[in-house]
Amino acid sequence: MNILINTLVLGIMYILASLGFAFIFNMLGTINLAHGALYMVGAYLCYYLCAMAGVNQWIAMVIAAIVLAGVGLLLEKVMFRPFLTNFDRIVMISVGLITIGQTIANILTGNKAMVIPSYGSGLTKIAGTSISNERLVTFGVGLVLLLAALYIVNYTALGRQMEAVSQDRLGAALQGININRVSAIVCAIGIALAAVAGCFMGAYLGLSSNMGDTMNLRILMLVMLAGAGSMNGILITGTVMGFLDTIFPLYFAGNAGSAIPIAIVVVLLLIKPEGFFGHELKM
Amino acid sequence: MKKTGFAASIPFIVLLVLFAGLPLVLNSRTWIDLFVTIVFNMVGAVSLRLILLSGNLSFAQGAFMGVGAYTAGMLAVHLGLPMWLTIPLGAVMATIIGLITGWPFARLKTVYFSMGTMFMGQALMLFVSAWKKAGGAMGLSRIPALGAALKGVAEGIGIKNYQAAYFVILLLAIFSLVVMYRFEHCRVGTTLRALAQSEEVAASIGVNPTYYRLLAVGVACFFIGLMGGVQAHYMGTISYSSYGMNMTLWLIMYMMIGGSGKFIGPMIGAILISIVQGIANLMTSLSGSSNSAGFVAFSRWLGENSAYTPFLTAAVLLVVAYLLPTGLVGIPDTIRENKAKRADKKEIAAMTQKGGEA
Repeated sequence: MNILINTLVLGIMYILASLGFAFIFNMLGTINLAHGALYMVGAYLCYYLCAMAGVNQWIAMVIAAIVLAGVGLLLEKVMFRPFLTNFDRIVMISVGLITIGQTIANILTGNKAMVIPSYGSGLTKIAGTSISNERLVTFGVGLVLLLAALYIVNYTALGRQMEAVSQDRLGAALQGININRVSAIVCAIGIALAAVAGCFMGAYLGLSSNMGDTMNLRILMLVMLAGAGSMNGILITGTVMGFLDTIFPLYFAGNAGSAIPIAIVVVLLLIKPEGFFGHELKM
Repeated sequence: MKKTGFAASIPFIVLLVLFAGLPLVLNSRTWIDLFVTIVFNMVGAVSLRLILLSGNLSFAQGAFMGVGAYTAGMLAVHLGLPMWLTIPLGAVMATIIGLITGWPFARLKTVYFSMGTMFMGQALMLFVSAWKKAGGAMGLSRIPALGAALKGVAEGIGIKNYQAAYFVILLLAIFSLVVMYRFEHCRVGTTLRALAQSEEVAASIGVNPTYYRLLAVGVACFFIGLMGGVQAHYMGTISYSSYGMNMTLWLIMYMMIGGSGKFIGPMIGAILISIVQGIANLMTSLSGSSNSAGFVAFSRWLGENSAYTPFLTAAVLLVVAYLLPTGLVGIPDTIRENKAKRADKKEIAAMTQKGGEA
């Protein structure tokens, strides 16, 4: 039961964090290596709003999400739009951003243990197992946001425009879709979701300057596993990743617990490099 | 206009003179450490570019350096093998693992290759860190030091231990660079470039893509493994975390900043960024021997704020990314292009003006 809960909570956080990455991967056809760093920035921002300004953690999370959405708009303008066809320069800018983010985090963290105030306290008994309310709240909010994101993707005009842009940029532009506007909105939403995931994970596991790296690896893995152009695939691979990351550390001590899931993903990717649910990306 | 013969080798000769001569003068431990780091990074970035020649960007080079380092270190610590054996064995091990893992990856392309190798390198290093014999998460320590082994020779010539170690590393690096240069400039290099442009066309005239890609991976892994082995013996302690994602990303950055179009590009990038990354250390140690008060104050200030120096590196990255599309070696080309563009614009403006009058 605990494994199930942990799987679901971790899985939904992975999915939330990777949705933005997947949006960018699908629509712009490029990889945003700085996504993990942005997730970390969201968590730190939330922590400092709570600790320094004394803001309630929920409000802090909303503020962090809004600020990061602004960052997303900015990044789309200065990073993705000008260098869409130039993978090298996007990688360079992302590494620059990662460096800046991690340096700030290192300076701020030092040796302190920093944890965002918990989003729920106490225990609830469900079917004989007691589960901390924090996990339930995390899962609930994550699920709501995820459903909202899926609703946008599948049932709104914006979602249809996204689909059109990811299928054919030029074609979409010829149909009168403002591709830059769609990309900007999608970047903002995606990065805001990553920030929300960062806030929850910051309360769950605490803050550290390498939390972005760890998450970045997970994001990359589950999006590559799902494949380009597949939103529903991410739901499945995200849950699978959450399961792998829950189950292996239980049986293998230390780093082996985190190495085995990665090795499994490598083998899966060798079997089907273009991902299990999507199509191959033409670059 | 292609420079040939002597003119093309001038930058290499300048670099060689600098790297052979400066450490004789600047012989403090900090300087030598910096030079050693630069040399390692140079070879690493160049080996990365070798794989890139065939059109694939590998994200696992740092891990292969780790394989070389751990192989050499463990052979020396557990079996007590001498250094002249462990270092080449480290390189061979890196090649073997590179080929074994490279074979299934050889059919992947572009972003799929990059991501696959990234996960593979990450998993490799995490497994190493979970291995008790390899020192676990604490890393491997008490590896015999290269400097101590060269003590006799160093005293004979009258230089310090670590200086002698540096010159050995430099010799190995020069060997690696020369071999990789030849590799690129012989027929194999041309074949790799052809593969990068169009695998189908290359295959249709009888080139075996998998064979050539693996050849590039093997050579690159051999030399980065060699550097890893030497690094294990130079540092004495190695840790898995120093060969993880960051190492690889920075190798890629050295290559991109220098410019991946030319052989010398990654070398220039490695020199520049390594210096920027190590500047706080360097200045702090320099301030001891300086007699200018302002300089001492400046370097002390820099030393105290060493946590902020990564911002400098990030600034270099962003500037290069925005202003120099072909990296540092491409500066002359970029300037020429911008001039041509400006001239074009002027001409167009003049023409439209004339058109308006007429």
